[in-house]
Amino acid sequence: MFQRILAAVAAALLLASCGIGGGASGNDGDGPTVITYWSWISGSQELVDRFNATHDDVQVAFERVPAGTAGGYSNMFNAVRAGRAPDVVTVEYPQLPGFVTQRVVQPLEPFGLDELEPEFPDWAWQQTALGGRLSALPLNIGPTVLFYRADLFEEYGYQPPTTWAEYRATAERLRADHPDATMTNFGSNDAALFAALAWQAGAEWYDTSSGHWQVSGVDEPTTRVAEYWESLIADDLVTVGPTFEEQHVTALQEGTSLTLIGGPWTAANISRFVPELAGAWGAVPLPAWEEGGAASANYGGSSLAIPEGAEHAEEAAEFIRWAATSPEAVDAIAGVNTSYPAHLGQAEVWGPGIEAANPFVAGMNLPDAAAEAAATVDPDWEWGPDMTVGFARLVDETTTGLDRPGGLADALRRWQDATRAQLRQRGFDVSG
Amino acid sequence: MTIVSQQRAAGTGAGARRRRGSGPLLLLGPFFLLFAFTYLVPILYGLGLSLFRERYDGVGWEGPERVFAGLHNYTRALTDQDFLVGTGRVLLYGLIYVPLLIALAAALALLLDTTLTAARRLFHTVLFLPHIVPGLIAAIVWVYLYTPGLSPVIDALESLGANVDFLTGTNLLFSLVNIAVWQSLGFNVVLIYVALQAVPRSTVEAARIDGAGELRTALSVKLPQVFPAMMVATLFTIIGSLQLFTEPTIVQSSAESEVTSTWTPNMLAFSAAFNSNDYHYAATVSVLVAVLAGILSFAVTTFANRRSTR
Repeated sequence: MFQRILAAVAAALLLASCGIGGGASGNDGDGPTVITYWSWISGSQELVDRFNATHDDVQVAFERVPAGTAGGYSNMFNAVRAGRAPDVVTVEYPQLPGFVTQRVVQPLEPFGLDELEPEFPDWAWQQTALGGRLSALPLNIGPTVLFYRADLFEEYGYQPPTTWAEYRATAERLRADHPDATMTNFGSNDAALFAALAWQAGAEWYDTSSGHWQVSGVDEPTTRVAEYWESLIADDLVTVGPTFEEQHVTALQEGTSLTLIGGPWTAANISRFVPELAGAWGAVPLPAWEEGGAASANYGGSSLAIPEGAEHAEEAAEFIRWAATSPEAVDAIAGVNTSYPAHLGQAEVWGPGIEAANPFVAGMNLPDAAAEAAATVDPDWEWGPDMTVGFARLVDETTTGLDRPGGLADALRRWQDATRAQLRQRGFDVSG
Repeated sequence: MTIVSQQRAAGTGAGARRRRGSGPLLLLGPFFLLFAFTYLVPILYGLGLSLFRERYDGVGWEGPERVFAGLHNYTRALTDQDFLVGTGRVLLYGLIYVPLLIALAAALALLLDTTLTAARRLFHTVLFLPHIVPGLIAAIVWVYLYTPGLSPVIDALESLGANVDFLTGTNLLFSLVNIAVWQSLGFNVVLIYVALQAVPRSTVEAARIDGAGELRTALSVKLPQVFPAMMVATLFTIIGSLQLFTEPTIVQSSAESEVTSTWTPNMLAFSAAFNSNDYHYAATVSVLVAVLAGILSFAVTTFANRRSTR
């Protein structure tokens, strides 16, 4: 009796293990090769559907994973470690150095993807060509733009600011004219946004040009940005709180939070949280620090990479090449995702496509603003080897003291010191 | 004849012994198998992980080299502000939480055990109900009640003129203790109440005949006899409070508070494992938490044994 139970259990386990393995293999016959794609970005399913409809030899199975820092990256690391890697993964730019230093993704040169370099903006290529090897192909980018309530700006007689000084002046006027309204909400839970603001000012938090890691959170540009926002907060010209949470959304709905810093993809978020404000928004490049001195940064976006141990790397590269370069791929997701493509050719067809497919974006002037911003991103910015913790730590450090003078700068110094110590303990070569 | 019967008796005796020998093994086997797979092997694996580290050459583009670290990870943890402050925090939390919970649980169990309590069953159920709510859900509900702008409790307090911030400063720790007490009070009441049922009624009656009132009987007769049960409850609670994770994680992710991503040792281990993919350090922190739990458990058991043998 006991033996019979044992046998039954063993058989069930055997069946179950076959079932698990079945998804990945079983492409040995004449049928198409099926590759797995792990992502969470909106439009992934539409992208895959279009690819599958137009390709016979390779078919992609899309598997939704939690957003990267919410567990998706952890899944990828563990899958690679366990020898069950998917064939294609989405990796955001800040996390890519971590994927490369931990050997989770493989170089793309063997698949000839490096020949695409001239078709991408130089700065975007720098973000994925790490240590002289192409580690991922940029899919979409987030050149910084300023979303503003065009309707209210017109009503109040304001011009969209072109410099940060003008931005502050407008904020002061707004305070005087409409005491219950503020210029924006400073996202206290969004370390990546603050990084983008520092990047735009010319900061370099991480630098590998010397052959090892240099980390700085208190260079002149970062301090300038910190002081600027501290003074806006201190003078009550902006609110502070998590972006797109209850209070912020209410302020957006009531028209008491007039601008929003983001990337083109942010438009989709705005449309999700305040759909009733369609047609009310405009977009311009982020204000510059100097008059006429156009400079922007990248905020968000993602790349496609092939994990180490991927079973069908060759076919994965085919899918990546298609997704990151073909106009069809842009068309496939235009209705659901407002991300700006990294590929120069895709970027050209993106504007008309997105305005036709997404009524919320139409008339915002987003394509022009994004194109202008994408052309002026500082290429020197680098990310560290552990940005998930890097961002979490920055949020931790800035949860207190934002309302007191020097609080943000202090938080950045603590962040810098703790980051250096952590990377050193982790086994990285860190100097200063 | 006698010889034969003796032999037969011996034979059946040996058979019975053999059967008795394999029976427990058969019954305990599955347990030990699972125990080994889900407990011993992971512990040994964790110990192994904690003795290694990664090292990168230059920037590290060539990938990590796994090297034997000796006690490097342990010295790292014992000099890590996040770990030390976090450990201090859970110890302080335990210092508030454990005595409070056990005292409340004992008091309620004794109340339930008095002859005065009419609706004993009802109280039992009501007290035990929160324990049925999954910890995660409980934490989410409480965080909602603690969040300014959302909480009806804070609104009500404000209308009375009191301005309370549940999620900052020292209040934060008490807010978390409150969630934990609400959640596990019922379970501990039941634990002690069950022990009270085993108290010989004769001793209670003897006390009563000697003129002891309900209070005196409860404190001097019943309480000493359920002391072992209270120690077990204390032990569980101490171990639980060292592993503090769910409530602060919910507070951290869904509200504006001072809770950081490395607020308790378990959160630090989680962050190391799942944000940094630094399995070695995560294992080290986990081992240290286990060691600390072991030391405290040992202290509590020693104290309990000395009390009961005295």
